Formats: sequence, C-alpha cells, structure tokens
Amino acid sequence: MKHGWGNLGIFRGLMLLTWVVAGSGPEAHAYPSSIGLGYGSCATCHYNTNGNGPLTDYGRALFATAYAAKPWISALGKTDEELGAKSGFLGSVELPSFLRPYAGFRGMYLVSDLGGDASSSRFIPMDAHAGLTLKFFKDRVYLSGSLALAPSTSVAADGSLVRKTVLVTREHQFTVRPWKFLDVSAGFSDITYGIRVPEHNSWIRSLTGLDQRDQTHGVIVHLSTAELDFNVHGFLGNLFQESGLRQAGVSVSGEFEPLERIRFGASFLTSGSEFRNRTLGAIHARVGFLEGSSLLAQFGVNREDPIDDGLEAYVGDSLFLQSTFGLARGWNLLFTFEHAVRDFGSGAMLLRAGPSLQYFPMQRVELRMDLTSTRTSGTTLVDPDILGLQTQIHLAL
Amino acid sequence: MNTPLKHFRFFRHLILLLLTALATQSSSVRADPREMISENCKGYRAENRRWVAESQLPIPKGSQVDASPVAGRTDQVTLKWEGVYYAVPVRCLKEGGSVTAVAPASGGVLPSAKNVSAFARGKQPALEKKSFFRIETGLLSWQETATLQSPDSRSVALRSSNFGALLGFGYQRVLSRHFELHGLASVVYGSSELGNSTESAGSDLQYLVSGVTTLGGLAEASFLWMPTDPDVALGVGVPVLVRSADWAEPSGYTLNSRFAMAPGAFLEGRMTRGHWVIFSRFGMLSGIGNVAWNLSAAYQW
Repeated sequence: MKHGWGNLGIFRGLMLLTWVVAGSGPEAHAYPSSIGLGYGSCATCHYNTNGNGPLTDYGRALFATAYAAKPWISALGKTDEELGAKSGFLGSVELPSFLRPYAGFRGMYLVSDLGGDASSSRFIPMDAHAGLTLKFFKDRVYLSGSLALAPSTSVAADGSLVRKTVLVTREHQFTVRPWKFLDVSAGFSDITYGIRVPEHNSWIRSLTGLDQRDQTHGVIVHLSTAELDFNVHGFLGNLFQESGLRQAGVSVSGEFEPLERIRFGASFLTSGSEFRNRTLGAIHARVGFLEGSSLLAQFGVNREDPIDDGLEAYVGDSLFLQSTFGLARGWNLLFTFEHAVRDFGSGAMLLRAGPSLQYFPMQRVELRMDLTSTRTSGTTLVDPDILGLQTQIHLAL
Repeated sequence: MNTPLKHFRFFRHLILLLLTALATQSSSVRADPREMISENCKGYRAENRRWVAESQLPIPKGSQVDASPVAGRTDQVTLKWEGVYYAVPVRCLKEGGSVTAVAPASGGVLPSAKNVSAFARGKQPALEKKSFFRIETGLLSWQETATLQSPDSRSVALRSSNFGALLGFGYQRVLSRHFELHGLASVVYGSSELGNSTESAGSDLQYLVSGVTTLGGLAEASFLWMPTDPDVALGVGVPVLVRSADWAEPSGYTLNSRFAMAPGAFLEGRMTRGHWVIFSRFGMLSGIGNVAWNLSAAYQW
C-alpha cells in the first residue's frame, strides 16, 4: 500500500523487535484504568481536566516513575528521582515554566480477519501531532493547542477508496482556573461524556458520535473536589465543518468517589444538527484494585432521530467492560468485552471481546497488542467470529 | 515566577506524598520511611512466608528503622531490620516526626498476615490462608458448530452463537506465593442462534433459529501465576461445557449437536479486592475457531 509516510518497514521491525526482546520491571499503568494506582481524577496528570491531551509536569514525572518500566538505557535515569527529573519535553533541559511543548505519534499494524479467507494487513499511521501549552498566573490560565497529521479516507468518483494524510487539529483550548475547584475552558475539544477510553473504536465511542474525529467547539465548566468531578459542556459543533453538519448541544456528566478507588458516574447528552438529533445517557463505574489493576464498566442508551422524511428514529445500547491486570511495572494485561445494539428494531447485536498486552518500556513509549473477536448476531447468517490483531506503537514526547 | 527546578522539587514531594497515600490505601497513618522504634514492642517476624510471634523484637531500642504503612490498616506498620520484616502496632513507633496515628491505634492488635502480605508484596508475604471458596456469576459467550442432515443423507455445516450467564461455586488453593489452583462448577443459562454461515449460504439446506434456550454446566480447572501481588494473577484454564440446546429439528432431518460436551482452553486473569474477585477469561470451546469468553464477579471467603 502507498501512503504519505514513506517506507514504514522500520516501524514494523521496531515493534516486532521490541516485543521479542522486551524486558520487565516492577508495576504501572495508564488512562482511565489509572484509578488502579489511585489516580481517579484526570486533572492530576492532564491539562485537560477531563483527560487526554498534553501531560502536566506531574503527569510526565508519574509516567516515568510509576507507569513505565525502568528503561534499559541507563542514560535515561537509574533511580525514579532521575527518571522524574528527565521526564520533561527535552529531558532534563529546563524550559521556561510558562512553556510546555509536546508531540506524539501513534501507529498501528492491523491484521484483519486473522486466519480467514479475507485476511489482510496494513500499517496505519493514526496520528502524528505537535502542540504547545502556555500557562500563566501561577498556572491559573492555560492556552493549549495542537496540530496533527491524520489518515483520511474518501470515496473517489469511480467508487474506489482514496486514503490520504490530512492536517487537522484535535484540541485548542483556553482555560481559566479561578479557584482550585473550578475550571472553565473554551475552545475545541472532545465532548465530556462517560469514560474517555483510549480505544476510539470501542462502541461506546464509535456508536455515540464520540470518535477520535468528533471534537467540538464549546465551553466546559468543570467542578472538582477530592471525591467529585462534574462537567457541563455546551457546544456548537465543529466550526471547521459546514454549518448544517455541526452537531450542537449540551452534555452533563459527573463522577463520584464514595470509597477510595471506586468511582461511579453518569452522563447525559443531547445535540442536534440539520441532519439528526441525538440523545445519549450512560452510567459507568471505575474500580481500582491493588497494584494498578482496575475494572471499567459503562452502559449507555443511544437514540438517533434522523431529520429526513422516511427515516425513523432508532434506539440502541452499548456496554463496555474492561479489566486491567497490572502484571509488573510497565506491563498490563487487559481483557475487553463489548456489546452493542445499534437499533433495537433490527434485532442485530454486536459482541466483541479479546485480550490485550500493554507495555511501557520507558516514559514516552507505549507498545500494545490487541486480539479481538467480533461477532454479529441476529442476522440471517451465523458466521464465525472475526478475529483481528492490532499492534500499536505510541510515542508521547 | 517559579523556576522549573522548583517546580520539579514540588512535584517530587507531591509524588512521594501520593505514593505514601497509595500505600496506605484507606489508612490514615502517615509514616516516614525511617522512624524510631520504641521499647517493649511485641510483633511478628516474617519467616519462611509466615508470621511468627515475637515477644521481644530484636531491634535495639531507639534504632532507626524502615517503617512502612500496611495497606488498609491504621494501626499497623511493617519494619525492616537487617533484611528481616516485622509487623508491629503503630504505637511501636515513637511519636513525633511525621508519624501520627490519626485513628486511635488499637493496642495489642497484631497485624493480619493477609493484610501485611498485601503490603509486603514481592518480599516476604505471609500466606495465612491457603484455601478460599467463592460464589461466582458472570457473562459467558461461545460459538459451536453443528451438522444438519437431511432424510436423503445430505448434510450442511451450521454454526451457533451463544450468549448467557453462569452461576457457580468455586474453590481456590494457594500453592505458593506465586502459584495457585482454581476449580469452578457452574450452571449456564443462555440464548442461542443456529444457522448457515456465509460459507454454507449457497447450500440447498437452509436452517436458522434464534432465541433458543441453552441450558448446561461449565466446569473449569485453572492454574494461575501471581507475578508480584497475591491480588492479581493470570494463567490458563481448561474448561468443559456440557449443554443442551432446544433447537428445532425439522421432520425427517437430524441435528447432531442438540446435546454436546465441549472442552476448551482459556487465557485467564483474576484480580481481588477484599472479598470481591473479578475473573476474565478468553479462549476457545469446542475446537479451534470457536471463540469463547467470560467475565465474572465472585464473592470469596
């Protein structure tokens, strides 16, 4: 396959080589599952108080000293103190305290229909981005934004698929934090709703219009205490899109921690455009176990109302369950189970399950391998589960 | 404006504070890594994976020792002295410094070996209890194949998808600090569909039923490895599913798999929080290509 990234064989080789020779150390984690390490609130490690996006200095140090294994390269640091001191964008080189650049890359080698007649494989450069966070007034005011190269697929006049790389932005925000418990952000970001899992193809994201390209312009008010996070997000849609496509609305979400490392949450979203109205509701839970292990669960009901004569509204649901086992520092084994019904009226049901191995060999590097088994039930045929294998490399500089 | 170096020092302190908070879990004890031991202290000594009562700790009065909080306990700490771990009440530490027992220390109560082992992971955990029983319930999904035979002996391969719940009783036997055995016996109730797949869609024998009740039992023996902490384990399991599906048999036709016994293999993970256990299993039942998975929650004692 030809694409705009040149010869990517080196990445494939690097991934395979790393999986083969990888070593290990003692315990660590990432993402919403980090509640297993006691980090329930995203704002601990991210400038974006709802997670995702650039890491704070503390988040970088934590990545180096708790999430990632101790690196093989001793020049990166031997003790956790050294690793933390070298976790900045330029390692131990000090930057002005108001200036925090960041960059990242995520690519995936995908084998679809593993072992099947239609098996195929390709490398997908999912994202390459660079950004800057500026912070002022004792970290009470932030300005953060990034530009990214991302794959885009369109249909040519002859019906063939055209894959190309496009320049996009996934985040630009202005945030004011007048008090520790209140953040107000304006700009372009992910919608606050449910658990923000990194698996953008999970059905709690892809069937709810909360995919990796579904950011929106709007204002987020975020209230937080030690036991509570609460968001109201009013949004106008993606202003880079044509006005008729913009999905404008509001979401309300909250998460409560009644016991240490146990969080329960609920979310509601309503939005509309010239083409559809959408209403979503979900409940979720995040439970941390010892040593960074955790369980994530979210169940939601989704209603879509197409604004077009002849098209009827449909209601479906989506369930996401993911258990993360912290095996050793830098090493996690995940099991993910998903269920979804796009339209209760159709009778078709989707099921997906599979194990994943996640490895952080050092700060800034994540390697992940996912085996997925996907099933469609309730149609006229009963086919074998479709197996897929995804190997990812993620660099967070 | 703060310099980045000052920032880092601040973050370093924050990291230490948070790591201490993590180690203490819900404990309200704050402990400095090194503290002073008081006199006349009784405790337990970690020996060969067991805690042995010590009427008098061999630590000289007033010695500097490494003291660490015990997860989930406000009244106990572990001490390390000359490479040996001791579990003692918090009151053994001299007051002052950064060690304060916010909750009243319950005098004379010695540490539960299980709690201390959770803290002393990877070092000298005590395995106070070797056997656990549990009640387990969860979701189960699997696929199978079946054959439909016509009166004139033509046949077509069918596939079934099943989704349901299990409820069962389990047993765990701890073999060592790193290995354990599990057994599970459960009843399974599910809904199944059976029909032609794309592969046999062109056959002149067509069959499709859905929403058919499946009843059966799932038994499993598994062997798990605890890499670092007794509360997290992974390994392999050998399940056997026995089930009956009430698939309609057209007059004169024969369905060969209405009753079946399906052995398989699972990759399995377990995590425990107190009495609560989560099991995740992924593998195959009834032959390669027939994916099966299970997610269960259990209460153990």
